[in-house]
Amino acid sequence: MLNFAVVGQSLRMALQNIRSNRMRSFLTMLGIIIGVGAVIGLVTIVQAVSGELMGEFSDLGAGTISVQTYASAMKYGLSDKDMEVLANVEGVEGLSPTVSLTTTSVVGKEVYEETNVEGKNTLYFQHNSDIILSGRAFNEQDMSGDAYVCIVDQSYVKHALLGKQVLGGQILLHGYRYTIVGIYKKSDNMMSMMMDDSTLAGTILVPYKNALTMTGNGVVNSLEVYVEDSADMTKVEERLRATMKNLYNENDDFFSVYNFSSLMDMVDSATSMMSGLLGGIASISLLVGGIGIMNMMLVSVSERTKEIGLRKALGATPGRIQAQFMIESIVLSMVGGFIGIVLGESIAMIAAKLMDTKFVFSVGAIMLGFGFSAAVGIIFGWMPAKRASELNPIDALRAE
Amino acid sequence: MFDVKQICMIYDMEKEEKLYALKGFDLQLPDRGLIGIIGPSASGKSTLMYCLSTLKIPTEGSILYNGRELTNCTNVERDDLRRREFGFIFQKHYLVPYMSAVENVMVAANEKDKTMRKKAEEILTKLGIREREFSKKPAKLSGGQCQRVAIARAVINDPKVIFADEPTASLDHENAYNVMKILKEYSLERLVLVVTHDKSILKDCDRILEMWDGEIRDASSDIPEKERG
Ligand SMILES: Nc1ncnc2c1ncn2[C@@H]1O[C@H](COP(=O)(O)OP(=O)(O)O)[C@@H](O)[C@H]1O
Ligand SMILES: [Mg+2]
Repeated sequence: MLNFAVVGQSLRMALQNIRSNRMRSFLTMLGIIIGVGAVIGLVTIVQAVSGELMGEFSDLGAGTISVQTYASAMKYGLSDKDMEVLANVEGVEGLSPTVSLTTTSVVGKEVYEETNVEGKNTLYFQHNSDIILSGRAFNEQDMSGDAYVCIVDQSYVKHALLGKQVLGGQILLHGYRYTIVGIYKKSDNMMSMMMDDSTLAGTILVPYKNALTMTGNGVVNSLEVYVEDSADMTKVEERLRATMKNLYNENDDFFSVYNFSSLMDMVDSATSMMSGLLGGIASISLLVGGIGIMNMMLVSVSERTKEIGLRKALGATPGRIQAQFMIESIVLSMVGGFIGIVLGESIAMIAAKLMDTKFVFSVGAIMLGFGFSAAVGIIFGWMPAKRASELNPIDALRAE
Repeated sequence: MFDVKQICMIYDMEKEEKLYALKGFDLQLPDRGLIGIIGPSASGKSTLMYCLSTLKIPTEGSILYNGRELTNCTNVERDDLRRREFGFIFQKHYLVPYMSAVENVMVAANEKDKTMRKKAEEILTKLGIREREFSKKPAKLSGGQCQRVAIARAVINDPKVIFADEPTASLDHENAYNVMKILKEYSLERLVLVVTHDKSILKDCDRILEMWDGEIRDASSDIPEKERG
């Protein structure tokens, strides 16, 4: 009975009727438009932001465990010996210490008061092979402590080396003459952007022993631990924590051991909680939108009592009448849903522009928008359509 | 075509004082011809029509339609019968306001295809609706035009019976005359039942039934043969 032609005709009639009541139809759809628009917009924004955060965390070192120490009177930091102990912990592939300081650099006659210097070892470059833009990374020979080679970042090139020969060029760093062997890409994440200050000339990487000499205290305060098998992450983390506690005389106030994947898990669960919350808010607005549609359909049924009476008198089955009104409410709600999707995606796109994040076109969110609006149409159209289908033809025709 | 036996209709069964809209009479109707039903207001004319056309079920009695008992048909069978074999014209045209003239005719069409649309246009043309009025909404058509669209809607499926309940009551004399002419023409092949309380338009009828307070009698002889068509 409910064949293709019937659905087609009902669809045409629904559109005709919506068009002949443009203003009212639009106002009715507004609830759905706002509801669907809000879900799509907000969900897309949350996903974009969390994607951004995740990206940063993985830049910062997903798959590694960070060990930080805080200088105290008892212990300034980790010595070479301590690091050897840590490197021998079961499941550890190796360590990459970071020794940071800010010092003065000189290129030619120009003096740059604030230059970041970071000491790195070869393992660091093995795990971050894609950061070298040109030139080379450090090798084992550079690690002896008396090789004066360095790798500069793009910011330093821009500030201090513009128009000069970079690779093979010379920088006076902490009183020693260094040769530039490479340029690397500093990850431009939010954190480094926040710490960005204009007086900083840039960052220069040197072999980590050289950096230790510059700081003068011979200890490391920060290091990354690479794990042999990422499945053992938490186990290795526990072992490292125990080892550190041992090195620090059972006092765990002056160090921390953490890994970014657990941080990422936290962001992940925060994101899904946020999405759930937004979904809840959105379902309330969809409920309101649905009630609006139900109201409009009830008005429509009572306005068109004569039309319904006539159709039934001419032999239309109750199912046919119900289908007609259901289709109308589904069309109404899905047109609203479609506008809402367009609205939501536009909001997300503008937000992505403003926050300078990547705009992610989420097919899932769109399907969700269509699904929800169709469901609203079916659920809230059912009762008015049922009511229409149960009208007595003669009473309906005579109704004034 | 119709064989009605002891038909009774009581509205508001739950009321203390029972009101008989039809008081139990017999009636036979032929396969073709124009049958006029006349009578004062509230005499039960519409009620009789509704019972014959399955829109209402009589309280008592039997209605045989081509040998089929209508009083115990299912709802689906009744809808089906109205859709396939009956056509309806009412006092008001009841055209759907947001649809064009042609679409209003198509509302009744059992098939919604192109040939049916063409047929609808042909019928409208035959009824004197011009092509430029096909796409007009009812609000842009005159009363007479609307009623002719309604007639087209009644005949689109070639019904075996047309029920016309005061089809001319809201029309002026000329339009009323035209409507009766159309119905007369259709009645040469099929059965057409026309309810009215205007005697003057019944001169073309093959048979005239008069209703009075739920009772019926043949009144064909009241109007002299020579005055009738
Ligand atoms: N739906 C109804 N409920 C109650 N009484 C009705 C209903 N329809 C008609 N009647 C009554 O039945 C009687 C016959 O009505 P009807 O068949 O409409 O007469 P006519 O068409 O000849 O004017 C009237 O007394 C009318 O009041
Ligand atoms: Mg009547």
